[in-house]
Amino acid sequence: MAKNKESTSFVVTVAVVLSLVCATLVSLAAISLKPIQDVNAAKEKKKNILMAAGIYQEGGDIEALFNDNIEVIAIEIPSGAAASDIDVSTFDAVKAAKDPNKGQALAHDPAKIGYIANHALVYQLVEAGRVEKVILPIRGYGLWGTMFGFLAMNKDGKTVEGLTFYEHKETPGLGAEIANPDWQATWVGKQPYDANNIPKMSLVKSISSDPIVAGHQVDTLAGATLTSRGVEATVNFWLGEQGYGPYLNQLASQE
Amino acid sequence: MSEKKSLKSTLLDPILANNPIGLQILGICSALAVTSKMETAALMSVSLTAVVACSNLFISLIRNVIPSSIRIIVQMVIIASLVIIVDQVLRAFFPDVAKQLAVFVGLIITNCIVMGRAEAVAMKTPPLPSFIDGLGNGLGYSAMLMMVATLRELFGSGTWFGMTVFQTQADGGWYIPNGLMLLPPSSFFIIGLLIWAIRAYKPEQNEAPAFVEADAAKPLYSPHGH
Repeated sequence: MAKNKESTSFVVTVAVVLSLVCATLVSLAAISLKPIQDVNAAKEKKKNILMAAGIYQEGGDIEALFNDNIEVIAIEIPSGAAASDIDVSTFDAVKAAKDPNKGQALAHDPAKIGYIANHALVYQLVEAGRVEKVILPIRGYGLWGTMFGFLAMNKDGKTVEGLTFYEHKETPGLGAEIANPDWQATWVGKQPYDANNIPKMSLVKSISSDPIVAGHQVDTLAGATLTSRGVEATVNFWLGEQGYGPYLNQLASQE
Repeated sequence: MSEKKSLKSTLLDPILANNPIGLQILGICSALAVTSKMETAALMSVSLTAVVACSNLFISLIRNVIPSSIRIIVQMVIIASLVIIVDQVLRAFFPDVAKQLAVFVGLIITNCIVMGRAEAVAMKTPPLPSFIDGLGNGLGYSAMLMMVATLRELFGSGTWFGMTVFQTQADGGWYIPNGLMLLPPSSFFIIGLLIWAIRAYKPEQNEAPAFVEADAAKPLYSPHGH
């Protein structure tokens, strides 16, 4: 059959046909498995909310634990007030951010996310009818891509109760250590706000012996400077005026 | 390469007699990285076996059409496509383990076993024996991984597939886990010991020494007064 197997036209034909066939197969697999992966992703997100809240149990029923303990509300980011006109089951902060009617471009953008939605979903950990912790969705740019996570704050609006990242593209073994539960646990109890109520978390090589300064400091990730900077900027951005600052202030004043 | 090898020996030879890790020392990277637990090792073994068997089959099916000038790229495209499909399947059905395997599924693309079988066998053998050869080499890789992972998980965590075998002291038992077993270097030692065991059992696998040490010259002066 192959009378001139090495001719340029034949080589090009083989390359094109092979690429088409392989591309089709790969896309078919990706598209047909997408719904199952989406279900997994949603579950992973809920698991991370529970982990940030500190109530996740290995092997427990995530769905039941989530429904029993967590209350989802929507807030308006600039004012921090509850927003009743948002449907919490369909709201997507990333999509809303890009929509000119529901979000806006950021002029001051340390977390490098480009756009922010006017509203956000907030997950409240309710114990005996009282809000104990709030779990806030955060996102920011690391080294290779956007890192998505949750930051849990105490009802006093000042104390970190947990931090998790459920989706990121950081380097395995270096930046990907942001997903390491041991490192995430070092955030618990930190006091991000300084005397002027400005969030000043920083990732440092050695934590200060002064307890007030140490309250703003967490160990940096070895070999992952850019990821660490991204985490730092992300946390400070979302805790600041442009992020959940107003909401946390209101939460604290309700106490 | 012997011309008429029975399908059975094509399938079973790579497990002990011609093990890709044990004799050819290929695919060591992933064998070090994913063997600290049986669960990840098992999933990795199944993934690699599926990829190497299917890539051998598909490459063999079109071996007479592949122009030799782009044959490596053609092999890579087929292998890479298969790996992406396997990765997508794992993410859909085993999301937790897939997260632990992380980059190592993607790195099957560059696994020497897959490339080696494609180039050495699939390019010049009909589809059925190629497929069986891929399956056999995948099983040989799997057998080695299973053994290494068994030893590492058993002595490193006292468990096997997550089931408690040795009650560790932390859980009120007697066993003190050996932390070294959970670190990658331990699989170097274990693979080395397994190769030693295989070669002690099958001495024909011993390679000829790369150089021969010269006889030591007789000392001119002996302290023992000869």
